[in-house]
Amino acid sequence: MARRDQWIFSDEEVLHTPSVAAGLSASDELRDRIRGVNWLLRIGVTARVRSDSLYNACLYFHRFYMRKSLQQHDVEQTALTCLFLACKAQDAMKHVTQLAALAVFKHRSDTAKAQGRAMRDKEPMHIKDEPDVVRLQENMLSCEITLLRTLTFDLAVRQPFPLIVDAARSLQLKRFDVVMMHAVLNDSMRSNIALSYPPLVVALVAFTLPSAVADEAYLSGTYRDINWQDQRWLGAFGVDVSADVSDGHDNGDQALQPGKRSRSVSGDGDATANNSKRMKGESGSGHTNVHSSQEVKADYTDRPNDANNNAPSHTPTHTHAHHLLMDTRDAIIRFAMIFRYLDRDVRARQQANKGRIAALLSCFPKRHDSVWAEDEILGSF
Amino acid sequence: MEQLNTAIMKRYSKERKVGEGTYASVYQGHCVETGRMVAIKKIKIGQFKDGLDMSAIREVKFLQELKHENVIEMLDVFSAKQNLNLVLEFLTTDLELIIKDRSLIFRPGDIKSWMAMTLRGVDWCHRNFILHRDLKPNNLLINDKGILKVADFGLARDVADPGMKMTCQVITRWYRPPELLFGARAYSSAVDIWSVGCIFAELLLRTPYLPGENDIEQLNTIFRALGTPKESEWPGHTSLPSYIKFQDYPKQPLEDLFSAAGNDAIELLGKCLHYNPHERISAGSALRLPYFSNQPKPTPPPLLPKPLKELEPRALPPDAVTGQGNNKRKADGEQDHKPDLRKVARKIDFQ
Ligand SMILES: Nc1ncnc2c1ncn2[C@@H]1O[C@H](COP(=O)(O)OP(=O)(O)OP(=O)(O)O)[C@@H](O)[C@H]1O
Ligand SMILES: [Mg+2]
Repeated sequence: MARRDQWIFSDEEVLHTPSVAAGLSASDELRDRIRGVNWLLRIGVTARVRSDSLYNACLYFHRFYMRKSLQQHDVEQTALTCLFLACKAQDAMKHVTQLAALAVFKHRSDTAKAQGRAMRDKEPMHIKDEPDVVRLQENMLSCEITLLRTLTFDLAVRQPFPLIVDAARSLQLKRFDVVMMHAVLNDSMRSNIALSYPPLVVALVAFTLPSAVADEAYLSGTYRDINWQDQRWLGAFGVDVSADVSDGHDNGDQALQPGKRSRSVSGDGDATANNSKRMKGESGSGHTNVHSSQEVKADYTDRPNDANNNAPSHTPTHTHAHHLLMDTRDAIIRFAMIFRYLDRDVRARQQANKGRIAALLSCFPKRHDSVWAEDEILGSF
Repeated sequence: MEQLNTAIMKRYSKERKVGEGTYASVYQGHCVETGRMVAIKKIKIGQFKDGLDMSAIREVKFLQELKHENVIEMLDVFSAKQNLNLVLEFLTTDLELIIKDRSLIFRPGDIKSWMAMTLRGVDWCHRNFILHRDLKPNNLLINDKGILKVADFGLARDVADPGMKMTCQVITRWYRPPELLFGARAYSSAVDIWSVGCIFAELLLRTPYLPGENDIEQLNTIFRALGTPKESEWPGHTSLPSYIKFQDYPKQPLEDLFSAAGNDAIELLGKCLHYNPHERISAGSALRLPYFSNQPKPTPPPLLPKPLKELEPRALPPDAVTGQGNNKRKADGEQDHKPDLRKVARKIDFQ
């Protein structure tokens, strides 16, 4: 059946999706994905869906559109169905009627608001027998099996959040630091970085980015004092940084052969993929902290393949951290791509943070052949 | 999509019915291309109003994750009329049939071999943060080469689901640990280990070790066999939600009943049936006990006793007949409109 690494995509794959092949521009695709995820999160949060289910639902959504086109599969309906399926798979079912009624209700209240009139119905469930709801419900049910099949029944997702919680705990950060990281993680669901990087890299993005986008007043001194240039902070994620740390972001000797660019645990080889799979943990909260730190180790220290294939043999451990940070850097740039599609006030705020983001990026080693051009993306939002 | 689905469906022939569970019928079939024998587990229509059955989706999710020699392998999935069909490797018999087959004689190495395979499968689940929650001899299936595989993940759950809604009404009663019977809201992989202990005892005795008639009787049966726990031995148990006081049964050495078993076997049994779930042994540690390295060596699977009779349709389990065990689907709290919070676990506590 499904190979484990089929859900980590190359840059080329991410840029040439079925929708793009069918004529959509890359920026329109990103806009539609953001619209779908926004819708998913809006309905999900109102329906009190747990955050682990929300994360999985968003990932299902992004994965679905790596196999199907936006032109052929309605964004909102797919988003809702992802939400429905993710809740089931996490043992926290939401009834299809509830979700469908909520979706129709939100649409109507949006229209009403736009037209400046009041809503007739006050409760989503009051409209549950109306034709609009019944139709949406039927569509969701028929979409469910398509979705399941497109996902090749891979419903289990490794979540980044527990990794963040563990690291924050080991560095004795404050609760609000973690709240900020969680917020960044939620925002990252609108981008498609989880299609390209393993959960650890997504966790690193959410862990580091508050230093550049959150109001300093909310961040603890301990967090603000982290020196991102000194890779030692990665130790909190169970990454071995004992090897020569000082030249951590000197990338001159790290240039890789073209075309053989590796991603940390991207599943370039079977052994690697199996490894990361073996210690899979799945959690929406910090309950399994003890275990998720083991998970990190399994992901990033037992990587025989990586060391053999991609790294200069004299600095094997150094390379893990190094690659990880190169990925994190690319992922942050891609994360920043979503800013220009967000509401104007959010955009304005992030505009003001541009300098901070650039400063954070400069702490991480740069991948020479990266297709994600920092200037272009940071310049435009 | 539908075409792909039909194509997959056509890949398998469905022949005779070989099993009937609480939520599925199981058929024997073949992969048309390769001739490989398969089992097709067809989920009975459940909450059709809400699309595909949740237990089935969860079983699929777990089986996709768990690839291990001692866990049943899922080969494919297809849907027919809103029903999920799981294509599984075909397993010719199960441990219940073997235990019940009076013509078979078990040597100590046979029992050790089944136990080792069971624990390896369970260890794999736990290492992947999955609780099985329904371990019993008839969910331990065995292939034609004697390899035992943990099966039936319809009730499994992630250890890490921040499970507001864990129900203590899982695990067929005879294999259910005392913390669940007392309504513990937080439970852990230790629940599966208790079940493994009961299965071990059943292999030694050739009859169910702790067959209680109802939940209260079940506790009584456990305490009569193993002694009523003291607070010192299991701190906190008297404050569990459904705790009630039982007669004070004395502790009897396990050796008395399991007289044929060696000291190393008694050690394993005692550690699996430890009252305090936090101190109950883990599957991994159990496999490292002297029992498994001492003589006799575990029998190689192909040499294990196996019944002549193959699987054929069997009656529903006793729980299901009385209606009491029929909570399989309801076991997932959120499907109930008003979950009984008293009976539901709030937090998982994976030691
Ligand atoms: N892979 C298989 N090969 C052969 N027979 C099987 C297979 N899987 C299941 N069976 C048979 O079907 C029966 C029911 O299967 P299973 O236990 O998976 O279903 P269930 O509905 O979850 O049952 P339960 O009542 O135990 O909860 C088994 O006891 C066994 O006899
Ligand atoms: Mg069964």
